[in-house]
Order: sequence, then C-alpha cells, then structure tokens
Amino acid sequence: MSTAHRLALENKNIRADMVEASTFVPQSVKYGVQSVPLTVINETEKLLGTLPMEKVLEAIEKL
Amino acid sequence: MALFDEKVSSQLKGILGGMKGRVNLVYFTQEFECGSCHDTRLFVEEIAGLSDKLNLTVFDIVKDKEKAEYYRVDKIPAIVVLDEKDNDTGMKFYGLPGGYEINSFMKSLIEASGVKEAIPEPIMKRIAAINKDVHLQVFVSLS
Repeated sequence: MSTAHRLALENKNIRADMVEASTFVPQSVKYGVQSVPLTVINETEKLLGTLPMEKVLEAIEKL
Repeated sequence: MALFDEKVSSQLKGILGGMKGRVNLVYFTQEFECGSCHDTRLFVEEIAGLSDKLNLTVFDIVKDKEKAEYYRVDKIPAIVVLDEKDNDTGMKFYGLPGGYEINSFMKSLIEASGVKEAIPEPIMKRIAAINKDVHLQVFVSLS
C-alpha cells in the first residue's frame, strides 16, 4: 500500500486508494479480488501481491 | 471509551512525533452511519487526537456532495489525506485502516507531513515522467 501512496504523493497525476476488501464487497467482486493485496490500475490492469515500486512503475508506463 | 489502550496510544503518539509539518485529514461519512462508517470515524478521531499536527474535518457524502466530488470520493467511509495547505496528497483510505494497514496509515501521515524515505534518482525520474492520469486501487484486508 505504501508504494502506491508514495507514487501518488510524488506525482499529481497519480492517485492511490487503500480499499478494505471486506467493507467494499461490490468493488471486490467487480475486480475479482481473491487474495490481497491486489492492485488495480485504472480500473483495468491488475497486479497481485506486494510489489516493489519498479514493478508498479513498469505497469503504469505500459498503459 | 478509547479505541487504543495506553500502550498502543503511546506507541502511535511516538510515531506521530516524527511528523514535520501539519497534516489535514478529511473524513467522509453520512448522517445515518453504517457500522463501518461509525467505527472508522472513531478511529480517525482518536488518531487525530494524538497529535497537535493533525487536523480532522468530517463531511457528509450526501450533504457535502460538492466536497465529495472535489476530493473524488465515491464511497464511504473515506479518509482523504491533505497537506497543511489543504492540497490533496493523492492518498486515500476507504474503510478502516486497521490490523496491518495501520502501519500504512501512519506512514502516509508521516510522509504527508514532509518526512519521506529517499528514493533512488532513476526511480524518481521515472515517477516524474508519468504524464497521464493514473488511479491505483489497492485492495487490502482487515485481518
């Protein structure tokens, strides 16, 4: 979570939400959340697990 | 009745003592609070009470609709982290940042206050180069 938040802090184009899965069931179902953490990028790309910043950046750069 | 016992309060206070600038927190709930909104409000009120550098404003997602739109809040409970000038840091917490996530929450407050770990220059450059809108949603668990 901290990685996503740090990215948001460093660049105004990025915003990052922590979403508590069991509180927000419709959203969890929508994105097929089976295990956490799950990072959803722009409502389309999904990355499973805790990721180093480079991996999240790579996925963002590929958008 | 306090949410945190003395030991935990003391630890959290210690962590918050590392804040540099002030941080403004905005919390969205609604008049007829569901359990989760109620619990999260108590949580954020208690945390805000642990430091003079934390300020909390509570809004109603229905009555304060324009604020919700301004901060891009689309569900509740929502905690929005602003810097001391009320600029949006881009960091939000939907739901109670409890369990392990309390560490993420504390870290975000420290970082928003201006205390950040160094990031290698090549990575900083890549972050700065992102020029499209990016919305990250990290689904986490309370346990």
